[in-house]
Amino acid sequence: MPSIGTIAYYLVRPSQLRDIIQWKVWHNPVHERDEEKECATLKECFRFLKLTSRSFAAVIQELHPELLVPVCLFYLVLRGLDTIEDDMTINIKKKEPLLRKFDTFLDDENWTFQENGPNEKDRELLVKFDNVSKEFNKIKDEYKVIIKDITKRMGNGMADYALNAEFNKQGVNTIKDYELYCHYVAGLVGEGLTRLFVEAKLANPVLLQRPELMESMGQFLQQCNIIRDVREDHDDKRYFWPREIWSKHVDKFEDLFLPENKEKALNCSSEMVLTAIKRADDCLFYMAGVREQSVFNFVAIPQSMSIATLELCFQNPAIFERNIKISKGDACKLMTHSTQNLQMVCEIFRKYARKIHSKNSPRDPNFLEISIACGNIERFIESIFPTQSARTLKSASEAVDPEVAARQKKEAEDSKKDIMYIMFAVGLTLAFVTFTMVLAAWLAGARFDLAIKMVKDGIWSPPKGPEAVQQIIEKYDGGRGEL
Amino acid sequence: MTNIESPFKVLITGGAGYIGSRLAATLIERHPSWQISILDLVLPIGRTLHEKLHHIFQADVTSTESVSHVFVDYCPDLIIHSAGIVPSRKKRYSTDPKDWNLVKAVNYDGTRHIVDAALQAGCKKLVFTSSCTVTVDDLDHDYFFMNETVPLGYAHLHYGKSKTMAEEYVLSPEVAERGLIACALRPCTIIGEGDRAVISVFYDLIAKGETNFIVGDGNNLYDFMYIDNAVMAHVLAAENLLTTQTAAGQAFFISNEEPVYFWDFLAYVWAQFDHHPSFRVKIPTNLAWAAGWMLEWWTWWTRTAPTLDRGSVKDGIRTQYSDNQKARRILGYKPVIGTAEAVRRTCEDYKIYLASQAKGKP
Repeated sequence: MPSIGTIAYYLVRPSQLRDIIQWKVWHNPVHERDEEKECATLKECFRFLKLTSRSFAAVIQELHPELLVPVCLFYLVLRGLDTIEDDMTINIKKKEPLLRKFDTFLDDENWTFQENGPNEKDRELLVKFDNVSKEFNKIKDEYKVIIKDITKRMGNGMADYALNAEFNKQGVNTIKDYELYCHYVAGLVGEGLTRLFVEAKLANPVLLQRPELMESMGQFLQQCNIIRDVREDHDDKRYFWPREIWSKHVDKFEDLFLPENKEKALNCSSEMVLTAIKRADDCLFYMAGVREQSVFNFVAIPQSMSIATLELCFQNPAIFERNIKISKGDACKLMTHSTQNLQMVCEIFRKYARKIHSKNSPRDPNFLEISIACGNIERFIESIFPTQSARTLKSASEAVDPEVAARQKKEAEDSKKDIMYIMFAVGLTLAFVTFTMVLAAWLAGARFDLAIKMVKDGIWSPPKGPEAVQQIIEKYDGGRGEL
Repeated sequence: MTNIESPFKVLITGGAGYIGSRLAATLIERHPSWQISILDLVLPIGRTLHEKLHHIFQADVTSTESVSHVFVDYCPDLIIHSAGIVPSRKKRYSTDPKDWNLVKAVNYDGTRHIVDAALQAGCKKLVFTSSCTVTVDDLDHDYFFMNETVPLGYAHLHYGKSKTMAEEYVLSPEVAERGLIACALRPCTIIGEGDRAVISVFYDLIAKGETNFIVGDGNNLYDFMYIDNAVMAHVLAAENLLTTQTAAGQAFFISNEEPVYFWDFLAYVWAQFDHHPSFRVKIPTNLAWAAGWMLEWWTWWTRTAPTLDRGSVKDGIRTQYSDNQKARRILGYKPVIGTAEAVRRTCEDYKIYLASQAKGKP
């Protein structure tokens, strides 16, 4: 039962409620899991998936049957790795080899991990990790190779960061470091997924030849999250905003959170948004290479959510105070639109690019750069879906043929002439009707002469009652009235 | 293949002008073996450049005789024809036949004179500074991400119309038959140090108190480019015609490849002069058009100079930006300096100019 507060919220925002209902009622999954055919360990894996992921569980479960299990397991393996990395109760000496060797644990179907701190939220996954390894060893070798490769590289990357004392104390230093960090935690996921899609023949193999596209897919999501979570991460003493950016605006990172630095903090956050939004056109390009609807939905939903989140965070001082989120109604609307086709997703990107553009302030040091980045999204969309409007030329082939031009000119002149005739006819009719009515009134004895005299004296309102009329007749007509 | 470091003779028309002088300096630096000469109507050029030039011709391109004098004892290997007249401010939207005759005489007849004289003298290579206005001086249409397949002939403003005629002449089969190997570059609006035509128009709006309006929805995108990027495109085109000649007979759009929301561009220019409008109202297009129409009558009646007319309203609401793929592919063009940096440099330079102007006055 929804609370009174929730009911009141949607009473004043009916469109949000409509979007939620639209998504819940009208969204048909492209594919559905067949739970009856699943064995106990696989069912357990899907239970973990729902437990550990709020946003990805739904889209993963709708994936094409070919990739449903591999992607689910890929997610769980990385989540397991992440749970070890995140756990500050594990000593670094113990943590490092765990991270570096995590991919080998998949070969051991009995490997589990009990030593996570009691407060680690996804602890159960590792305690019962044997379920994951058992299922992992059932999938095709091609998929296993990809998942293990990414797990190994990500584990090594995480281990390097865990050992890096400067990073742990000071946070990320340069923009390059920042992008490298995002590469390990998200760019690699983009690579792994792309390889899985291509292996399953559900995406264009060209995507593998343009690695910057899949990198951008991960970078865009991760950077948006880092921007949105700035307050939460700060409270947890984790610093992902690169010093290279924030040091241009404040002396110490924590100064961003002081109310008196509001404008500086916003300028700093805009620069973060700028860094992220430069990836948006790559993301659209990538999505153009996806061949299958469920895979498209899987990649498009998080991207749309991210650009909406970016817009929400842009020029929004609330990000320094609390964790902000796009509303449930907006989220449902985005999901509805992201599960159709590329053009709809492009429309979402254009809409949010324009929203960011309209919030952009000329006082911001990166004002024009942000404007150009938004324009670049529009330019990219234009290259795949050209605008056709009354103000664009019909097509490139429509050259100015003198014969056509002459005919058009003649047609235009003819229609101008027609309009003149019609105007003339209308005028004539009106004049005739007016004349007839005046004549009829005059024949019936209307005293236009008196009316004109009155108007000349500045009296515009007609007389009221017979006495007033008589007075007027006496005044203007020398009492010759016949009443 | 011809060696690019042969002692080529290159003539730059409009060589004392904005693009021309910068182009001359760049070519001298990039190709010390080349012999650079310039041709212009008026010749106040810097001394350092003066000394490094091979020939300096004073000539009027509107006159056949004047142009033919240049080629009496001189025949360059390549001509970069960048001489032209750009009607600015209210002249830009002029429909006066007198204005048209002048623009046509310089931009179209001038080009014909140069081409004909060059061919007669034996010079067979020419880079023509055309303009993106060959398409976009058609205020009734939007040009999203246009490329070179967009048909010409819609431009109705004097400048674009004259450039269209000139470009069509330069690239025409008739002229090619006579032996001319030519290409045309179509730069968008150019800004940079030394610009006194573009930024000044926007800057003047501050003093007029006309910075609080946005005509239309403010989402229209516009192309601008930095002078050095435009100059580099000319250099690449010249090198191409002197070597591989893959650009022969072609036109190329060039820009900074960074279309920007037109009204944001204005705001950014103003911000360089520390002017931040306290508010900005979006005026619907139809209303602005009607207001422009009425103001045109009013200014006609009172004989004052209009800021807002239907031409500038239409100019302010439209979208126009180009696709530079062809220039990238054939010329190897790539914009180096970004638009934001270009605006900052241009405005810094304009500030110095304004200060010097202020000092000059008693």
